[in-house]
Amino acid sequence: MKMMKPYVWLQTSDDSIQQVEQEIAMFCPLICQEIIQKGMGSSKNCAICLPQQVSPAMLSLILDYCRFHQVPGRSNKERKSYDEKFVRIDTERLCELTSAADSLQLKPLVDLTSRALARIIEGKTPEEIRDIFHLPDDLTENVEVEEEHVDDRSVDDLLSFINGNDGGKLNILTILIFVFT
Amino acid sequence: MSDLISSLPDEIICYILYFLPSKQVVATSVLSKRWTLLWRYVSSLDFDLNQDFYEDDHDNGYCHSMHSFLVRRGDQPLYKFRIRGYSCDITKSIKSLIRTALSGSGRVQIIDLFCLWEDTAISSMVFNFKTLVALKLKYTIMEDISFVDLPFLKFLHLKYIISLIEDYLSQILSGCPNLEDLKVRVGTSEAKGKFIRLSKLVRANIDNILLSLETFKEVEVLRFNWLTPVRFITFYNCSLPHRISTAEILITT
Repeated sequence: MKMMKPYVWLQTSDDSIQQVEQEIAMFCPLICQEIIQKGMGSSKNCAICLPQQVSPAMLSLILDYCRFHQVPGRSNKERKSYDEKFVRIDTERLCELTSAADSLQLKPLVDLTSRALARIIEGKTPEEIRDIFHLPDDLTENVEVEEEHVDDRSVDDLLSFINGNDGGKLNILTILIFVFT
Repeated sequence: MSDLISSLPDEIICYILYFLPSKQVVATSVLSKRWTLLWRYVSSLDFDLNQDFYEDDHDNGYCHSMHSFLVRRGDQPLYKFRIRGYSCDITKSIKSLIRTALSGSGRVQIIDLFCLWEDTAISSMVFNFKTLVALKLKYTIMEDISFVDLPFLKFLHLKYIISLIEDYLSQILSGCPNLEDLKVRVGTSEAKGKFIRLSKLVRANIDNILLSLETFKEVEVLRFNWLTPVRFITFYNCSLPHRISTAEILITT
């Protein structure tokens, strides 16, 4: 009988290719299917192309998660406390992680991150939720409403905002109003 | 930079909203165009009428929103039912909408009711859902529990159940072979001390001995709240459950 290959080749969204322990990667149903049904991943030339949502940073996080849970004999308490710490990351990464885990069909992780996101928005007003996720308000496209958002920030502050220095985002309409008033 | 959540598919957003109270789920409809109709596909119904009654300070407004919630989402399946309130707050038409929604959903997983229903139609229905994973009932009147078959049930929490059926607990338990977590609080009920085989039971929190101690042989966390010293004697006659890691016994005489 042929020995199971211990490593598998994976290609992430930035086209970089890396080798990971097969046993751990197989935790993701999508990777598992590629290996078993299509025979992919056995060499660098036939690396498994991961979905667009899986960046190298997300892959490494996901593999950490799989590596921990793949070890048998851990108690429920240990797993629970690991999971709690695992999702203590900023909202942006949590969203990316949810999306990546979903694309790899890794249901337990989707469940974990979705619950964490639910906890973040629980009890928040729609306006606060918009702020958390940088959601543009495309329902109230009313200039008069937007005018109330004009604040006291200097033009430099606004420019750094527009250039995306801190990942913040301002409604373009607000900026125009600010410049022209 | 685009927003953080738009890259997620609708199903995932609905799954995130699944964990929130319905009032907040509906409120997300004003977030943006994409979110306007998303709330209808969230498969949970979670209303706390008591809390919202005090918060909103209006009589039937909240009942009205529960009604329109059920009507507007139409036939979308519901997997989670959580209702807090008194039955007098809930009109007949809402009850019938709930019954329809319950019976129309083939995959109910969580039922959590804390209401004083004066009719027993809904509480009798709950034992018909083979897909149930968690069942929590508080202040519920039970009449018909002649047939219980809940093969996937892991959590069973019963508090102050009103039933004329003697020994209703063992009747329910005999239909839940995979139960892991059991919590029972009763007002006045005759302890029968019956043995029910629950091989997967991990946590038990029981007030008064309603079941034989044999039932709890395999549990890890056990909490008894005994009401009479007579039970104490029963305890000495039985060998201690061997797997217990946490045991808390409160004896009130």
